[in-house]
Amino acid sequence: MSGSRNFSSIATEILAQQQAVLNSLKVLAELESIEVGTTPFSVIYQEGTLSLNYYAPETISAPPVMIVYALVNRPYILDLQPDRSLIASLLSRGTPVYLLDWGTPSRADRYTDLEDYICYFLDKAVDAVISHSQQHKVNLLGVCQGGTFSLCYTALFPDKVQTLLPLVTPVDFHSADNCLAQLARCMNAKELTDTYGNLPGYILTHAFKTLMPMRLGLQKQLDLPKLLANREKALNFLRMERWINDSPDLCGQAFIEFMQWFFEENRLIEGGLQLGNRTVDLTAITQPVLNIYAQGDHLVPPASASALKDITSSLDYQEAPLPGGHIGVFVGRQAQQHLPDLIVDWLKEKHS
Amino acid sequence: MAEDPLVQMQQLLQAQQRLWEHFRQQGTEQQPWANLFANQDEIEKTAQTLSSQAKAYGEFAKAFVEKAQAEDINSSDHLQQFFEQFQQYREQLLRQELAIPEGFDVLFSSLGSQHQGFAAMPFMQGQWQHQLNRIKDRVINAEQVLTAFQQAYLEFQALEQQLNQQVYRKVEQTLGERENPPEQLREYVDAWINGYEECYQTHIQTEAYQQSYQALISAAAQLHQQTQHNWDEEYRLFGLVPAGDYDQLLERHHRLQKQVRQQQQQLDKLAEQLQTLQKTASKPIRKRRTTTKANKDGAAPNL
Repeated sequence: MSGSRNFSSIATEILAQQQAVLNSLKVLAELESIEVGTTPFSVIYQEGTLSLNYYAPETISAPPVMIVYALVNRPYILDLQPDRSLIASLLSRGTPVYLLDWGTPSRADRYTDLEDYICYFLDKAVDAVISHSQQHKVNLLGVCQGGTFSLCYTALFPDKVQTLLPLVTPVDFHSADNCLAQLARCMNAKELTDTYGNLPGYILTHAFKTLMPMRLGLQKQLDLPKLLANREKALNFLRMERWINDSPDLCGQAFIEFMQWFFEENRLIEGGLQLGNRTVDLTAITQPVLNIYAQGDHLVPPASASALKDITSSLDYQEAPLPGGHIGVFVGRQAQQHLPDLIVDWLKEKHS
Repeated sequence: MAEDPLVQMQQLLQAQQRLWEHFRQQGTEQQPWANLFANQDEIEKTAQTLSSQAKAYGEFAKAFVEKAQAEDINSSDHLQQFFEQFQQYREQLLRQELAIPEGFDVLFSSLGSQHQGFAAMPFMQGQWQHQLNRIKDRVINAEQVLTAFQQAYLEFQALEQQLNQQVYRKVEQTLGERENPPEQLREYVDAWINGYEECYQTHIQTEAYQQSYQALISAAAQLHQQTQHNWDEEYRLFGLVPAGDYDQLLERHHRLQKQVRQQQQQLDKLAEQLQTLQKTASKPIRKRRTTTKANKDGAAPNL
């Protein structure tokens, strides 16, 4: 290869890239707003920063489901846009959906702890769902950290839970391929909360990006012209970006406890998890369980999620490993059909 | 496109200049997106990233071609630029992640990793002797935490450099295995990104990296704490409630809230028990009433 061939192709490449940048800026200039979470809902219960949203299907033809989202990030990822919405997909299958949104804590919530979240707020929300849905129990679908909370809740309040559906839920925090857990163990949670009060959301966002700094940083930046090539692509990309960068702060005390009890001491597996004066023992879970996880998940590796198999007393335990990553498993276009079908069919079967 | 690489570079630079002139004019005359971006953080941020990234990438391409032109194109020496560029980029990311307080950031940016006692700095000269003890303590503490941060940063950067050297060798090997060298700059970049991520995944699992990262995060936290501590003192001076005192109030408030909830739960339980008792109690009462009625009717009591 001659030097001139190389220069020529690089010069052409840069010119094309600059042209694409110009085009992308034009596309951006024509965007009015980035709408997320557009499916209509009503708030049926509120306390503190928490709100419980009810999404009503046109006609009810499946059992209701209560979604418990994580404290990390915002739950509108489940309703990112009309054609990429787990909530809309569940509604279209006749499932009433209740979504627990933990809200955005302020400095005043610094001492809110895991007992408050699981034994008080979550319990209150479950009561509200039971009352609103006129069912005796709830079907709990916990996402990521919300799944971990749902496991604890079901073990502590088994009489209020009919079925349990952990989705991309970390159970074993010490599985071999868990880079997030390894990095998390590098952080002194007490020192961070002594410094900031609550853990600032931007630190979390950076921490997630640190897992793949070049791919999630430079590569994405260089791909921007492609990602913003037209209005539809740009909106898809920007909705996701908005969500990625929209991390609420984490209440200081809850953060310390989660880091210590789960990431450091792995108490769901090792035992000894105590919330207030209650001991969390996952063998108390006898409900039917559908454990859904993503095969390509780099945040919650399959081994971490599937560890649930051996630690409950459920005689009706099923696993559903799905293709995709931690978020793609429910946001990806292909996920819009398979995942809601799986959930609704399973719920119908358990309620038949 | 002409064959002479120099002519091509000229054309590229002129085209880029025209492009940026075009942006500049639009920015001053029409401001087509400025108004639209007013309340659109994500759009604005993306536009800024896109613009600065395009500019930096263009400049990098120019430097890369110049370097490669000066050497044998098949030599891997020009990969050194990737090494430097990526090291710089990673450092930027790290600085964003640490987000150290403004005052310390300015000092750190000017001092870098070179330690220099504050007392020797020009802005301290002549003032040092006249400062109140309070200020002296602050300066001494600030110096300590900044020195610790510099040390942690240096150690972390040394590990990052090792990582980049690993990546360098990996990319060199990958490119060496190809039949033809890449024709696009992006191919080089992608090779570096892939190589980096592969080496990084192993790197972050080492104890040395984890300890160094922990020390760095901790040192950055100490800078924030020192700043907060200084602010707390100022607040007290002006009779305001500092954040530390406010936190103590919040902690007490939280404890009270828990007690109230527990008492509420006990009350709910008692109410439940009372209801059960009332239900149980209401059955014999009805019986007695029935009995009374039966008695009134002259029937024998049901014993």
